[in-house]
Amino acid sequence: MSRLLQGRKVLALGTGVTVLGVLRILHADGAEAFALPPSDVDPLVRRCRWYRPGPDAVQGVTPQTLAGALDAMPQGTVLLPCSDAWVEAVGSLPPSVAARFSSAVPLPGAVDTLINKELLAVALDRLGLPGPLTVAPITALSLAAIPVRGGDPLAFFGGRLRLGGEVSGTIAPEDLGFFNYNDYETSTLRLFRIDLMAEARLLPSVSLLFDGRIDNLSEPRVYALYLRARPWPSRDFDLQAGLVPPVFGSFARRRYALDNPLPSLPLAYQYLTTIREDALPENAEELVAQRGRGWLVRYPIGNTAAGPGRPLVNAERWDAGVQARIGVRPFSLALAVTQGTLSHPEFEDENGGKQLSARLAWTPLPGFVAGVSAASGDFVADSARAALPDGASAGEYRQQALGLDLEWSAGHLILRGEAVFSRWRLPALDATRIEDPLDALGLFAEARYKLWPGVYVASRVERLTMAELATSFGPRGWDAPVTRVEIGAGWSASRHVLLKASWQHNWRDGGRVRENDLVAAQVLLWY
Amino acid sequence: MVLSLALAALVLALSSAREGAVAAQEPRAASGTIRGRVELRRAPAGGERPAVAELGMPGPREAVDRRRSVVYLETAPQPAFETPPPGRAVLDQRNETFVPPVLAITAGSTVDFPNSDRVYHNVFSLSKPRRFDLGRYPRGRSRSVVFDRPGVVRVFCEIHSHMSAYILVFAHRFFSITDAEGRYRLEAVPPGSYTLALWNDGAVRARRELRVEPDAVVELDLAVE
Repeated sequence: MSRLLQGRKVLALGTGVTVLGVLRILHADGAEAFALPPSDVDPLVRRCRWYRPGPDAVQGVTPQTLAGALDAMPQGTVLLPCSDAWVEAVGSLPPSVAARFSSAVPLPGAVDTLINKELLAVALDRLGLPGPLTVAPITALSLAAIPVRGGDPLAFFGGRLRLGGEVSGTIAPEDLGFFNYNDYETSTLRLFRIDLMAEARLLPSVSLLFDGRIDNLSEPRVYALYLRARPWPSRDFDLQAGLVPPVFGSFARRRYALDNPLPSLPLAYQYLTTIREDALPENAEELVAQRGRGWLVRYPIGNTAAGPGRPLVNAERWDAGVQARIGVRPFSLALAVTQGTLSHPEFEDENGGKQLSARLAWTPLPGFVAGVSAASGDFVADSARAALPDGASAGEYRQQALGLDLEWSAGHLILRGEAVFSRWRLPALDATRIEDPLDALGLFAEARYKLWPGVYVASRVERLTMAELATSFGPRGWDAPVTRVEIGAGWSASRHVLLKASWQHNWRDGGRVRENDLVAAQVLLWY
Repeated sequence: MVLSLALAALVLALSSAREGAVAAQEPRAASGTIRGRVELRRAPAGGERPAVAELGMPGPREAVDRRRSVVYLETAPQPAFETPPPGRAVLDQRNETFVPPVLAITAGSTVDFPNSDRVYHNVFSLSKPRRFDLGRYPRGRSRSVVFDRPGVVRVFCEIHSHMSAYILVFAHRFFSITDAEGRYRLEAVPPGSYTLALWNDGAVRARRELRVEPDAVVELDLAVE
């Protein structure tokens, strides 16, 4: 620019900040640059150190009167328009006037195309040049017709490979009572989770399913990886093998953040009791001494390092094994043989024993589902069993569970309830011997009601109780019972963005922190 | 004029009951016709979210027909935008699919959402032109929504995330849903210059400027790349 304009008179046509920039550049490059008279430009331009007013002849000039005002301008002046209107004005000068000046503006038709973004989009389309999506807001439909994709998963290879995912961030004050911690030693209310799901259809009746997760930007872990087959396409009979969804209960299969109206998980599926499969107390007193400390317990037999206890049913891990489901309306029966137990699902078998679990669901009418579940599996790990005396190591130390789940929905209301009864048997070693089974009962009821499109309120009330155990200082619950009330709300900001907030109150009859209030918020993106 | 509007309203109501669209019109004197065919050159997107948490394979479902396009006039002289008579259309829920997947109506029209499945559905939309949530209702029940404002309304089922449909609400009557062969036809178009838009699967895929002369037929084929 400097070589072209050096020593030439340049008239910057415009009033605002663009003129300011033009004057500065031209001045730096040695051009003799003028702007419109002081009365016609912004004070910002007037006060600029590079500001030189143009001749009086152009005072009060507008794009419409430019041709007449240029009569008094010296021939050869460079006209530099600094706005769309001035570009149009210079481009529309009569040929006799335009010939006396220098300018670099497109022809009027081209100016129209450049200024009108709809015309520009059409021109780019005709020329085969890439351009941004442009919608002329001529009608309300035009505005609304901006692509509203979404709701569709990512599909490849003609739909044979499909991807879905969730990204959720949950924030809450520190849970000093560890009421919401899971066995990954993180709080479910202070969690950033990336969840990727994939389904590859290998054959028309065989699919490979995958679910991988990253929690708090730690190492990725595989949550699900299994084959699903329907050997007889005309029959409602499926087989699944691998790291499979649990058949027990209902909540563990709807535990994705999208399916859960509240940020937290139910106590029966998350709260850490004081029982561990790899570490065992020698007597009842040692077990009772840990009441209310399930997030970090230590026992003398087996793994002596402190570690988290186990929930009644673990919703944060799935078990490895095979399962079959058969549907005969209105019933559906699922059976599974897996490596671990409900409390401690495993990828690799830790004790050589298997768990058998089943659920029978009854759907007599739309909107109502009742399910009964049962499970039984070897609980104590070989590593702990190896530390037991000979007489005790041969015993059967199982986790057995029964479940009942109900769901009813109509209109804008959903009601859900679950009961999970779990029984563990541990070795009876020294006095006071743990001879009675360790029973626990988790109950919760949940309701969700939609107030307006995209806005709901929800609540969950739950109770987790443990049976009493004989100790040298009398009968005591083997772990501290917990009660939780949570109320919250959710708002779908868009189809794929869900915001949740809740307040929960926890009570516990034991442990260092016996009561607390937590306010949590969750942002969820899904596709 | 009044007779013409009444006749148009009758034709619209009948056509909406049959086809779910309300584009047909009584041809007017000295008006033109725009017709043509839409070719789909891109593979339609689609599919479902991976059902990782399910205990079995999903049941057989009708594939969503994303081949249907909507061709409409985006610009027109003001007289062309007379207040269109409201119509009535049906968006059925069948085999866990919205049928038809694309509905085009005039503003003020009512859409019925019957449930023809054994399972509950919960139709809702968070689109700005019309937010609604019909709640859960069983087979044989139907609920209705009036669409007052022009725009694109994306409809979903809260229970079945793979279900979706589009409702295009127009402030005028110059639109047409393509048939199974991709053909469209806009009739009774007043003479003038227009921008014809092609909408398919959630987006405007093409625009063409054209001029309609009195009693003339404009042939214009379009493609979805």
